[in-house]
Amino acid sequence: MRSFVHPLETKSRNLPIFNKAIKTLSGIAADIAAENVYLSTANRRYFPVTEELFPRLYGIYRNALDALEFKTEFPMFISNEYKIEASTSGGSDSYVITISSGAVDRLNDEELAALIGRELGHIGCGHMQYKQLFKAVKNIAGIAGKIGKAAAAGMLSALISWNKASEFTADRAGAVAAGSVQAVIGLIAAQNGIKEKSTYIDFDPYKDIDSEELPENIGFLGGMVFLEMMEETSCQYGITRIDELKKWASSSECRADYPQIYYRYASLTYNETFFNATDSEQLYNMHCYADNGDPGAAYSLGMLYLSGKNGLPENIPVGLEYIKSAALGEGKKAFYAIYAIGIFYRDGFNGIAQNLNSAWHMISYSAETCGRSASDALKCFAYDGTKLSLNTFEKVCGKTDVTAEADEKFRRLLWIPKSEQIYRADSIGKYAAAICLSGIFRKEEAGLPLFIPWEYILENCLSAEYYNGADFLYAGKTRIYPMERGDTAVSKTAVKIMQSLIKK
Amino acid sequence: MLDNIVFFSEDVFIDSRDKAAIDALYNNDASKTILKFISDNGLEGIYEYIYKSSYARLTENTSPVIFECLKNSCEMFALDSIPEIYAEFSYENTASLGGMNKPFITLNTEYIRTVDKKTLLGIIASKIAEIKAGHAQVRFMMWVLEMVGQYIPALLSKILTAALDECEKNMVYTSDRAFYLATRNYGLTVQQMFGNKISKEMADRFCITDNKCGEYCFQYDDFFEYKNNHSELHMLQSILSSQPFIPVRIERLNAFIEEEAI
Repeated sequence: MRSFVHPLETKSRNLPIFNKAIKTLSGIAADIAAENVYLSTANRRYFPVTEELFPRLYGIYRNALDALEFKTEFPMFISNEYKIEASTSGGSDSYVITISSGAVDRLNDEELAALIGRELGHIGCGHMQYKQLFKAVKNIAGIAGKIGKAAAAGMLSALISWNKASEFTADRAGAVAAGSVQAVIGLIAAQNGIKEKSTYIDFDPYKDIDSEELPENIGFLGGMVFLEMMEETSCQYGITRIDELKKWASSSECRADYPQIYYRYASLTYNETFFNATDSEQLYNMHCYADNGDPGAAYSLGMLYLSGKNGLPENIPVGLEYIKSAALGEGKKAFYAIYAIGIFYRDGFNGIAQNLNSAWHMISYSAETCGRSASDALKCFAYDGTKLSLNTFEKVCGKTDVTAEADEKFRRLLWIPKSEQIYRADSIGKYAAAICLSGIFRKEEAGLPLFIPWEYILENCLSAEYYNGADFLYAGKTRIYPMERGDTAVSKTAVKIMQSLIKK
Repeated sequence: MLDNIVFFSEDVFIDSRDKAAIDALYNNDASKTILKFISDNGLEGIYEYIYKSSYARLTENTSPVIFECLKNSCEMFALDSIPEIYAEFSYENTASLGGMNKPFITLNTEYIRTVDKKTLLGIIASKIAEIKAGHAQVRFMMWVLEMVGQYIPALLSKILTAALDECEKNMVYTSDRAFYLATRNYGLTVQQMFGNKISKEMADRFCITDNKCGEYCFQYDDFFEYKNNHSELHMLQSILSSQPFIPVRIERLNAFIEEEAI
């Protein structure tokens, strides 16, 4: 029978000290009574999730129930809470799930399925009776007086260890409900507040502690502190849980019990076994995921068709279609596909005509995500023996020297969107201009601001006659910026960039 | 971000009141007892474990801008090893110190999103200066008292609480100085004092500029007029807040800037 229970949980539950702790704590009924009060009042405090009120959420919930093979539907509510969280209350087959409005607002469908699936996992694996006792564990301080601190410390340690393992199990349930471990990882990233890529931070979990081990020698007081602190933690064991999930998703157990999770993860991570898939079952799964819009599977399949590997026939039109479909998706593999198409444009490839401008856009857009620097990407433009590799956009522009005040001023004046980084900007008399990654924003006298993309500038290349001693810098017939005062930051940088990019 | 990083000695950025309060804490036997208690119960290890297993660490790879601020700040305040830095999901405008002997910094994610690079540098610099001034140890002791105070003898707990409160009241002065020294922007430093009390948008409306407190001046003057006449205000401050009132912080910062100019 297939199971997603983490082995550490099974091990923890079988320890005699765990059972002793459960027996000892079972005498404390007050908190369980409080749970029942919660049950009876939830429907007066929160919005119920029904098909009529929240069709999207209800649909996700129903799918999660089916994926985890639940026959019963439990009442679910939405609480008004900024955090991304869910909780389950109740016992004896009568449960209530509550999810926060922050989660509904910020998570995508798969992540919501993972969040709900985690709660269903807690219910399905019988965690709730222990979780309730866990809440009562503060009373262990009183019990310690009777059974001794050493015995109480042992119990605490066993409970903490089980609690952690139960979270590992719940994550697996979340992955089963969502059909992907990436959804659970996305959920954890969101709970850490770093789901959306911001200017300053990105998510790259690291590991330098053993995910299954606890700190050595947790004594009685240490255990109490541990519990208190964990209770205040927004995403308990978040980083180690990611590590555990990844291990599971690439294991033979996962492949046997939940092949859809295994293959989907493999397609996203370039798992060697997957990429070298030759058996019909794996190839069948790859096609299913690719055809359902999974960029990882589409990219991998596209490359296999282009090269005619792993038992697939060489079929360039089909391969290109898969690559294009991957490029339209989301995530890292979509960037790989965009990069690949950029290379096809650079060189011209089976029905794709050479187009250097498109190549430049696609390669520079995707290079960083594909683990290449922008300068590496621009090495791709070393065509016809002209070496432009060192004169990259970044190399020419360097880091921005625009102050925060100037940045604000030029953004307003030239209508520069926030998504653009300003590298150089200055104004002379009634002229103002700013150099950005997508092009040049400029304004003349009382006119409206004008945006001149690099694509246009490349097509209408600057030539020496325009920028040597001329009054204005031009791209074709479009005036860009005054040259008369010599080394204006914008003109000088624009010329340098063009000198770097234009085929000499 | 910074072309020429200026190095500041401890005498410059650590406020004398702050130093005196911390010296007094360590001269107190109660602090030795609590430090032994922390060590005997492995509390620092537990604290570190929970952070490492639950929160995302920001690295040079994932957060180059933050890391650059961190490196520059360490150089500025001569901190030998670069501390770890974590992100925590919260809408509150706060940054905090964690750990004790191996301190680290925590930045709230919504905060990171809403501030510009200069402010970020100021925030991180103020935390680095705090580490250098020994605030991490003080804050850890405060945290331990809050968590397991009931397991410590009552008298010891009260003595420690008084000494730690005194430290907490004076720590912000060092933090304010460091923010100012790193950014050299008076208006931003004053705005930052409002940090987690009101939203940035509202703070902007005080029109605090480079050399004066703008609209906030009226409140500032009112405060001191009242303060000079009513000693109850001091009592109120002790009851309401563990930190000095903002006008007092501004006054202390002004004095520092004047002193530095001389």
